[in-house]
Amino acid sequence: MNSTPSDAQEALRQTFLEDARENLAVAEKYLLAMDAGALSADEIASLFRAIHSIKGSAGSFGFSAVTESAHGMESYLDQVRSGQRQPNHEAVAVLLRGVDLLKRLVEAPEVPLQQERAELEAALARLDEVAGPPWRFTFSPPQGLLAVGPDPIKLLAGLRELGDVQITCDTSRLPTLGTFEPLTPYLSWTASIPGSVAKERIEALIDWVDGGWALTREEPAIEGPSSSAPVPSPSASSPAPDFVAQTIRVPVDKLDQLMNMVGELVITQSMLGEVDPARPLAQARIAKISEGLSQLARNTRHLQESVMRLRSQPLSIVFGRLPRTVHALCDQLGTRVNLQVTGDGTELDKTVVEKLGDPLVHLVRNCVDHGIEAPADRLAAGKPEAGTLSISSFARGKDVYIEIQDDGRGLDEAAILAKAKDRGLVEPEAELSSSAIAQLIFLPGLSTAKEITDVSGRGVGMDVVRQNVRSLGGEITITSVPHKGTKFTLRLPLTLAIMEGQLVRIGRRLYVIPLLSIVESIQPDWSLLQPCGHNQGYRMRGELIPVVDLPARLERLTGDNRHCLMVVVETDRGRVGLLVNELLSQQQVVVKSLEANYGAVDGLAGATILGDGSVSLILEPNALHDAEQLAA
Amino acid sequence: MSTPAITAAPPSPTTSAGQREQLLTFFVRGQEFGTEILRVRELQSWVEPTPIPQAPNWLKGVINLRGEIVPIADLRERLGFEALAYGPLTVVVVIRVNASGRDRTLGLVVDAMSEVLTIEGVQPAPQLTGGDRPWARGIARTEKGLITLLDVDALFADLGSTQD
Repeated sequence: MNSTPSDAQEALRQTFLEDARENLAVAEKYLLAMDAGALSADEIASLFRAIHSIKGSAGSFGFSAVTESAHGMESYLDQVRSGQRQPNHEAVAVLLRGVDLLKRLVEAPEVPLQQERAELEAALARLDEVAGPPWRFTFSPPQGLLAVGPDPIKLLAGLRELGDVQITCDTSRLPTLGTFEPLTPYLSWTASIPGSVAKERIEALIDWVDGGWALTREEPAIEGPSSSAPVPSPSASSPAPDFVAQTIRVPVDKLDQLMNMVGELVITQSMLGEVDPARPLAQARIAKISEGLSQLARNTRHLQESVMRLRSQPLSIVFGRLPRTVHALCDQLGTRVNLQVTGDGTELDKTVVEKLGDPLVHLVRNCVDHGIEAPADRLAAGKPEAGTLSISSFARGKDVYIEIQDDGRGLDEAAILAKAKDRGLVEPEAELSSSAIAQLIFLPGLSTAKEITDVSGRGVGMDVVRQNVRSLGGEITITSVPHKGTKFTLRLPLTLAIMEGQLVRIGRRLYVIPLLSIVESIQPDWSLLQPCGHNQGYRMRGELIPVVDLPARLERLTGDNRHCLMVVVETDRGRVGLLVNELLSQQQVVVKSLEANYGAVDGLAGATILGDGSVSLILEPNALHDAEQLAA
Repeated sequence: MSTPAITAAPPSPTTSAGQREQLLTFFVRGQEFGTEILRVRELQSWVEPTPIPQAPNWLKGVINLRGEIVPIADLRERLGFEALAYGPLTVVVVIRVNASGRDRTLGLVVDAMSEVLTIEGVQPAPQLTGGDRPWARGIARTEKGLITLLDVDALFADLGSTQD
């Protein structure tokens, strides 16, 4: 192997990875559904296809471990698909284990996981024993076989290793000892092999024998298994067209839209191209140019929207992981939870969807582990034995909301407040509203030993969840009612790529404040400014809001700020006044990552490129607010 | 580009003898430094970057490199030398740096460009007084003198994670 894979190889591998992850998610979803009830034929076919696709693409990348393990599962699913067997709970459990194993293999194909693979194979083989019409293998060695060398006994011994194989020997053709010819095969055998053993495993053992054998299903009523042999073949059952459709992850209608836009762009271009620069500009042609330009502006906007839509993906990709998490947790904790998922078709930017997985899993774990009580406790509290965890999402304006709600015991506000006071996160005498107490759980350092279990412990606290959500440009809040339950609400932007921004001048530089967070901009009355901790606060309609002196903070301008304007922004912790030198235009800005080549900067959401090509930094009001409070 | 009219240093047992390497060399404070040519993406003239709050003083800010936000680091200041006013000869070498396990693009401000040359064998950097210099990958000897090979990955290992 090359010591350094080329970029092209890496890109291919990435493609494989994305593909495989997606297919595994699909497989997992259907397996869980299968556990809950029977699947339709279409769904079973999709499940089969998912595993088949993984096998196929792993094969073309030479990840033989993935291919082999997927193959075993595929063989089993193929029989499910052809109606030869009904998977039971145990079968689903084995297949889920298989999916887990494939996940590990796919993420790190270089780790062979020999033992796990052997275990999976054995488990699949055991399933086979339970059901499926057995194979009938008849073998009468042809004349001359014994002279060539292969030993039929070894073949039969090999068959035995396939599982519970019954072999009977037909000795009727044995002659008397006097006429016995040592090289003539007189014996013939009939073996009954569990139906679940893959056909090619049997064939692999015997295909060196030239004739004299036959392999059939014992129940002729079942559709011939050869047509659904799981080896990729051009047979009728090979889902080749769907395979192609699966690897293209952009719905065709989105591409069509894009094509339409580009078509219009070409028309506009030819319209503008008719303008002959050699001739002087007559009034009529100026009109034509300006018409062309306005069309161009419209085309550009539509094109932008279409391309953004290409990047969007349904939340079902992450929601699909959650039933599994809940399932496993309930087993572990002995609780019962009904998971209700709604709105998983809501689409979000690909980046957001991908990065949402971990925070969501953590929140769900948290609800199941801390929120929902044990069945006995629930009955005692007059609640149904099984808890309800509902996850829903919906789009509103330019945001997508995800709500995770349980009907458990709610937050222990007294304990949280005590802990926060103990850690100095809250003043000892502070009186906090119950909603303010709830938000405390997002503070770093509030997770304590008492909360750390092997379920939600893991060293990841709510502060990390909030950080993750914020890094996606979103926000998370919690509401809790004692004994009624807890609700987490995540607000996420539809896209990270473009946002409405308010351009402001701070010192001699331009910055962008996200327009969505701006409540109002005012000419402050400086007599209302008063000390607030180590900082300044501004009394506004009876409320004292902290003031962040951006010229001092960002540009180290410590002079007189009396000429400043104040932009009041809404943060997750209330309003904050940001001092700026000048308000400029409002415009859409393309958000660029600072982290790609540099790193995350506290107080900044990213950067953008202005019309003149210069870079302008985008402020993150929530982080500015936090920093201000930390300084206090 | 200039032809490599430089004779290679005689291979010493401690070098990776026979290993030919192409370097891009440049001057900082009169001293010639080099970096592997394969890291270099392009050369840019100095443009005023947008400063980043809380960044270390050697990080001059970020620029727009054809739609990509690229940080600009002053090599002089990163190496602990005094700052120099930027002039017409000031060049930004845009290179690839692996920091925190990720490839990043970084603009490196140098005093002036020198040349592209091929060397054979790099000697490990001698340990000078005043502590170690993990950013010196080695020394290449040429007719004109010594060239210090920068280990830019080591030099900027903390890119984006240090705050002043």
